[in-house]
Amino acid sequence: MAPRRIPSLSTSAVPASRPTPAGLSPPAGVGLRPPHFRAALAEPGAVDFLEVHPENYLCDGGPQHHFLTALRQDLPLSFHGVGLSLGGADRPDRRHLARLRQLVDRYQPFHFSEHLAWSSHGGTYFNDLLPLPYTQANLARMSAHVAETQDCLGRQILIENPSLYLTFAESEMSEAEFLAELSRRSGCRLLLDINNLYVSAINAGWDSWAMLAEFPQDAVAQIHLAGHDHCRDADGGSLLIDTHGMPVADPVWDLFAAIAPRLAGVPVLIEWDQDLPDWPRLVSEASLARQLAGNALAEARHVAIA
Amino acid sequence: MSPSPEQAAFPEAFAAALREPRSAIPARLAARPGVDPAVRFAIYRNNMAAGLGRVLADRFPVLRRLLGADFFAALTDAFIRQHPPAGPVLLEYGALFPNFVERFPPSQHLAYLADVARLEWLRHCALLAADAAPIDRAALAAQPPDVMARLRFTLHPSLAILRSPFPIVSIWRANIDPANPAVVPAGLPGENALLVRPGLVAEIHAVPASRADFVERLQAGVALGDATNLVGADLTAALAFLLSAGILTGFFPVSDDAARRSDPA
Ligand SMILES: [Fe+2]
Repeated sequence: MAPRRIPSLSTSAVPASRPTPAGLSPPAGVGLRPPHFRAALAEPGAVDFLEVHPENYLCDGGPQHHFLTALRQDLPLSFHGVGLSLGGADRPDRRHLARLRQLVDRYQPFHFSEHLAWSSHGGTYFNDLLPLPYTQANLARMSAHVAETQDCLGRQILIENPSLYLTFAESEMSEAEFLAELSRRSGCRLLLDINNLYVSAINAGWDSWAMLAEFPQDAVAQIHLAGHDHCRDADGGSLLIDTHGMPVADPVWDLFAAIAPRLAGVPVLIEWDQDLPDWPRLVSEASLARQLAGNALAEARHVAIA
Repeated sequence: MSPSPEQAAFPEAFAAALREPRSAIPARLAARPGVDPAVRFAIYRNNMAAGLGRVLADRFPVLRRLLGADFFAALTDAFIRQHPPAGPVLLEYGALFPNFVERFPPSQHLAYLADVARLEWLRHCALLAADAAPIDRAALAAQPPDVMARLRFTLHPSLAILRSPFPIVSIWRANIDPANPAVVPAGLPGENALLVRPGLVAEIHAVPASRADFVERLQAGVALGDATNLVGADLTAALAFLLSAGILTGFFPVSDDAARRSDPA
């Protein structure tokens, strides 16, 4: 059976923000996981867009494509790649890129995002988003990898800030400087994951508010929000684990509300990958993000006018 | 600008330390002041094993129930260390797992486990296989009897057959529902599993050896009449099964010339 042709949607078109009285809310989406396929299909108007990991759809047929094809007829889609290892030493795998290109052509996602991280080395895939030193050498290499990826996919991609448990003594610049320069050199845009930013700040002993202020906001094309686990280091200090397994934490909502007026209209996504809630609970988290951003923007305009 | 030794070592040293749990961690890692980087490095080591362990647990649920969660985790930990994924498409991860189960010393005395794992892997593959529309039954029924015997069929891309000396289909059925206690049916003969996914669900049938032979002959392009003769199957019953299970997706008549060439007489 030939794949059904997806209704045309410009690859660059981001989902339209849903109309609200104030008209200020950004589009809000959720990460789509198989247990939610049927619920999402039954209620496609509940969110403004969906995000999937394209690696999970690199198969010939079956339920994955059945549901994604059906959902794609109702909703814009964002691809969130986890396997290109763009921050690593090895060039991105051409065969993998070719498979991703086919999937992109089939589903026409409005964004394709990847990570400031590496996940493969020397023929082993580590199934994790691993950290790299923020050096000039790594910046040059990753810029080349991003450019190569954009060439192969025939489109601009987004790069997301990672959640860190470790940093490197040899880093020569801040994460924000690295991302800004990466965007400038490769032409990519950025995905600001506010949960990752907060997790990294706590784990590395950085100031999350300063990090947010330093983040190259002009390049941000999408926002991620997610939940983390709160653990303790041996010295009693906080250690945050980026589990995507619970509601968005209050400090992350605070950072989001603060930046939302500056990023009006930028799509915001709730990531929830472990201990999945039921569909309505997930939808309510996205609605909260939409509402919070709308309120923050309305308030900012009000303050500006007054 | 030539890279410093630290840069040249990245990510080689990090990757090597991830793969060897007892090795020293790479030099010059940092975290929040007062925190031992080794503790933080352990999070990355754990992420890899835990994430891939979840993938395998989802993919081999019956094996996991038969072994218990702890034993299964020990098995997957060992497998992940020896056979980490070669690429990022985890849909393809686990093909080597059944053979690993077969050779894993603590489970070797339970010989049926590897075949259960093989069945679960084939079921996973069936869920990812290409789609195909079912055969046009009316057009098939309209074929005259003499043409019928000379038909070749296309079979569903998800079709797979697994022959086992153990009652793998009965074991699978008895353990797939987590609401029931894990059980290994005793005193049953070996079973041949036929897997096919005509719609969204991968179906597992236990079939007699002759019917497995019959399906494999058709899959190899043998004409219906010849396949029936070879396995001695009852044509009507066999066809009814193929149709109801959604195994057939198309047919084309063999030309007289081709039929004569392939005629064993
Ligand atoms: Fe994210």
